[in-house]
Amino acid sequence: MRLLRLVFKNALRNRRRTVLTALSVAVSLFLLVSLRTLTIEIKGDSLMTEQSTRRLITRSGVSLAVPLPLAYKERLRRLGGSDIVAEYQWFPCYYKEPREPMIVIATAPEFCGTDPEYPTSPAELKAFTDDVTGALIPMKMMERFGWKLGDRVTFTGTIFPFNLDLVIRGTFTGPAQNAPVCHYRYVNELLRRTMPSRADKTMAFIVRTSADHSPAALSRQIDDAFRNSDVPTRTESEKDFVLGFSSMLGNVAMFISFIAVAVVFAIVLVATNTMSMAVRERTHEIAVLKTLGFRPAQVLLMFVAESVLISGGGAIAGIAGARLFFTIFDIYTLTNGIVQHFDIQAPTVILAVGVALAMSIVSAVIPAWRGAARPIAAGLREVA
Amino acid sequence: MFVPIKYNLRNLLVRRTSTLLTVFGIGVSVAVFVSVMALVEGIRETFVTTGEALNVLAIRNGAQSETGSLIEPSSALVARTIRGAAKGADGEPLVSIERIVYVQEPRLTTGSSNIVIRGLGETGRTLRPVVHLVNGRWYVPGRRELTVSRTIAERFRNTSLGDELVSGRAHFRVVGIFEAGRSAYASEMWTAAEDIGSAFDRVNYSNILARAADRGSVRTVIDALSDDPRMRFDAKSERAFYAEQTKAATPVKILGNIIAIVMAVGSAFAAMNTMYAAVASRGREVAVLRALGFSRAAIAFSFVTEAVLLSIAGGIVGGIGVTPLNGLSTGTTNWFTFSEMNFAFAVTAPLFARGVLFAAVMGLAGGILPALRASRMSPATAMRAL
Repeated sequence: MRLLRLVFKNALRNRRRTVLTALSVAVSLFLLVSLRTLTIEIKGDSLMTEQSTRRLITRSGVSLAVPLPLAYKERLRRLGGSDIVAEYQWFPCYYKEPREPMIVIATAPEFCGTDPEYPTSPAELKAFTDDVTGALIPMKMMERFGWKLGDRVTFTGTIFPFNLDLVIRGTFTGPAQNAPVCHYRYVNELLRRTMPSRADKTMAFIVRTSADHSPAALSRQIDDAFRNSDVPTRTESEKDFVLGFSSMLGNVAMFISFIAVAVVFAIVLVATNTMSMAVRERTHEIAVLKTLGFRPAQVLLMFVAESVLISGGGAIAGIAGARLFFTIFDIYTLTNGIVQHFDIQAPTVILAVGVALAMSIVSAVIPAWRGAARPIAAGLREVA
Repeated sequence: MFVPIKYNLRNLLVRRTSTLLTVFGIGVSVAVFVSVMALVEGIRETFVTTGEALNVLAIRNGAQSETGSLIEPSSALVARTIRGAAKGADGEPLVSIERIVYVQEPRLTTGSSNIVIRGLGETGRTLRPVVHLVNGRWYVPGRRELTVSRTIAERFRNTSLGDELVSGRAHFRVVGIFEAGRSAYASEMWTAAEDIGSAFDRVNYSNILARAADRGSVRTVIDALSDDPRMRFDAKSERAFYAEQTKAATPVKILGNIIAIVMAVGSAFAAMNTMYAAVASRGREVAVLRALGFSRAAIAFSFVTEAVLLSIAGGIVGGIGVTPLNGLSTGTTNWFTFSEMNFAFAVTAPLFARGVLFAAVMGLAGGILPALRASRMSPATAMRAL
């Protein structure tokens, strides 16, 4: 215990160095925690609700570029195993700012508000259902653009040759907050007028598995049923559909992980530098301690403890700082909705603490061992 | 009068451990910075090296990319007889009306991605001389054949010579492999426009590529395509069109800059640490220098120089450390075209220089405070210190 006091005093002896080292470690850990969270968030897990595994997306086996005929809707219904079958069509567009592309989801109103975790108020749902030009807007998007119920908003189409003029009839919460919802019927009507060749088709269908059926079995059943049709289908849960996008990114997650490793390596170098400076300065003291009967192992331990104190302190500040930062600053606002969630999870924190502990020990051992193993006489002779 | 730079160099060499640790610490930050920028540069090079000077590309007005452009056949056919277009050897205008579709195929490693199949018009290949066959043969229109870019064949399943690519009801046979240098075509598979139409039940076209007769008629072709109210095209020179696609790299660039700045702050603290230690252990030397007549400013300047030298060494180490990345090719999804783009990391000389400059700024930021401290030391006290 008395040794611990000495460790404390030693750590505070060169305050400037301690603070600078801790700050350097803090900044690095902040980065490490953020990068790790980013690799988790780009997978899209935090967009999932309990519904995501029950809702299936049926689309062409070719890719999203090939639409399905509307006639499939009736065939999907007749297959059974589902309680809702709705068209699901993206309307790629932008709102005022071409550099910020977004998507409006065109679907059937009976599909909306079916998520028991995030219900839409019945009055708003009815207002939306009754107005074919109506839209349901994510709450965060309402806040971002300062919209109110009843506002008329125009989304400029980037693939289809028309713009969507929608009236805001309701809002919704839930994890996915970057896409407004409108009536498929309305989009299809505009397609009939402007691009008849693309009308009466939909990018995909969304099929909600009924409670007594297995989503996996229903997916297989759907794809089997359409195997020999004009457009064979690929059906997967909404969850797998979203996860598929992160796999499209390819090696991006690996690249970010490499950067994270580099960051860790950089902290080890910084902390080692600090500890070797501390050991060098105290060559005399180490000799004195050993004269008093301290064993080299104890001296080593003292330095390791000092390193854990300095770098560990910095690490905790960095991790806490990251959590605080992303609590105060909403990632949705920071990235204009491109990144919707930035949830620093417990495993990430544990990992970061582990890394901090390991690197503070590693960075102290080599310089401290060199100091502690030096013969007493040599240490006393040393001129600082 | 300035303190000779040799004094700083020798000092750095004397404190070898500390110097090396700091150099590597800064090196790592620079390595991260340069590698992210090399990725961005690789994407940029792909797009800026795509396109012929005389080619004009038209997509539907308002569309953001070729894949997101839908052109009705009636409009597309008007473009066949456009004013100012060059004529081929057979007297036909060099205009290629194309259909683009993307198919989702598995990567050889993990996951899958959308690959572009470009269905070209008869003159489509003539208009793109950068692309040349390296293996097998060119597709024959009407036979559902594909000639595939080598980089795609190397990274995706079912796309090698002799493979059958089955997508939906469509069966395509891969009959050849082409090279397209570093251009954007290296991320594509090619067939005839009519085969895309029949295989994927597509009547709409995606884009029109036309060759202007000469430099002077480039403008004529662009205007002819853009101004015709029947067509509603957005026409540009092919080079300008692809150069604009560089925006696909913007998110990576922003992320990279944020990471680099945060790492630079951490490294600057570390450099500051090293320099404070250097100043503290050289009190006497500073006193002697002052006694010899060097001014405070000269002392401050000397220490800042030392910090910058230290960082520049780090920058060079970091830059050299990532040069093996140069030419490494990989792919990711371009969210503007919603399809795979291949590119190769490009560690260029200007990028290397930017890395070193980046390091020098870190050194400057880390060196100023310790240097000021050194310059303020009183010679008498410093002399007396042990």
